[in-house]
Amino acid sequence: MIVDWQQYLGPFTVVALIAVGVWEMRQPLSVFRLSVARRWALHFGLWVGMGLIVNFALRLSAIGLADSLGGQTGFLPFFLVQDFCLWCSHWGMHRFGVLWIWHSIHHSDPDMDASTGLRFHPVEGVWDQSVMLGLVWLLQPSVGAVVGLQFLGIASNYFVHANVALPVRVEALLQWVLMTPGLHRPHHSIEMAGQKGNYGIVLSVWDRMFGTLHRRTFDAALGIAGVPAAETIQPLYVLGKLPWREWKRL
Amino acid sequence: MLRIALGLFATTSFVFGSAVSAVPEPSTYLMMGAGLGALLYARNRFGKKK
Repeated sequence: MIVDWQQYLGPFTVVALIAVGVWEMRQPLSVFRLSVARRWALHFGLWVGMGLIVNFALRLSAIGLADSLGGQTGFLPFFLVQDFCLWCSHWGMHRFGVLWIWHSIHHSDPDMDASTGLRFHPVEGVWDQSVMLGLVWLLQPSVGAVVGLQFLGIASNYFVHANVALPVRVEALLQWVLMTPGLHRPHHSIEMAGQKGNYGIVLSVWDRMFGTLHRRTFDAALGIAGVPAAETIQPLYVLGKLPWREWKRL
Repeated sequence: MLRIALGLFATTSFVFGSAVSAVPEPSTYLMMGAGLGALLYARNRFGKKK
């Protein structure tokens, strides 16, 4: 049976978010400080803008490129290389000002739930998609590997940002290999030391290897120091000034 | 060389049709908007107040 799996990517983006959203309703970890409706409206707007701009800037998707190259590299090696490269990219975003200013939009969220996984500046989307295109060009994976990774990336993105309390033993077990909500939350702490670690996307092994994995507790408040929480749910034309403000602060 | 080495792990168990963009289409935007709206309603109606 021939299955066009990529046609389900769009619906999966929605269904996975709703599924994690229901999970968050049942087992919430923390109470939100700000209006959920306003945050979600903002995140939805950013996600729509991201899709339009990335589509405009990079007409060629990773799937399309993989299809045209006809490569055969399998899922596992492509996943490992891609996850490591995204770890490097994420580390770079916290290391270099020119990348941080765009990533700051994601970190400015003073609450965290699965919808935080939609909160990215379109420039960051173009950057990520460019990294992905470069890897597809270099490694020539099969279309199946690229599509499979897209599904995994979407699910993992929602999972690590989820506002859920996993059972302690499950959390501890998963942390050996995977990024979990418990590992990613300190990365969103308002405390700068917390943000300088736990850069993993799907796997936690890269942080373990490079000594950037930390499990100690940081300030429970999330966001960016010096950016008032109320400002972070302003309409896009106001929030859009944040990268320039961050640039001036560097 | 790297590609040849990685090719050893190749899997071709799935067959894919013509490539489409992974970037959301208008129908996906509508689904996401409706989904978030429904989830927001459910949160307000049935969500646990911690």
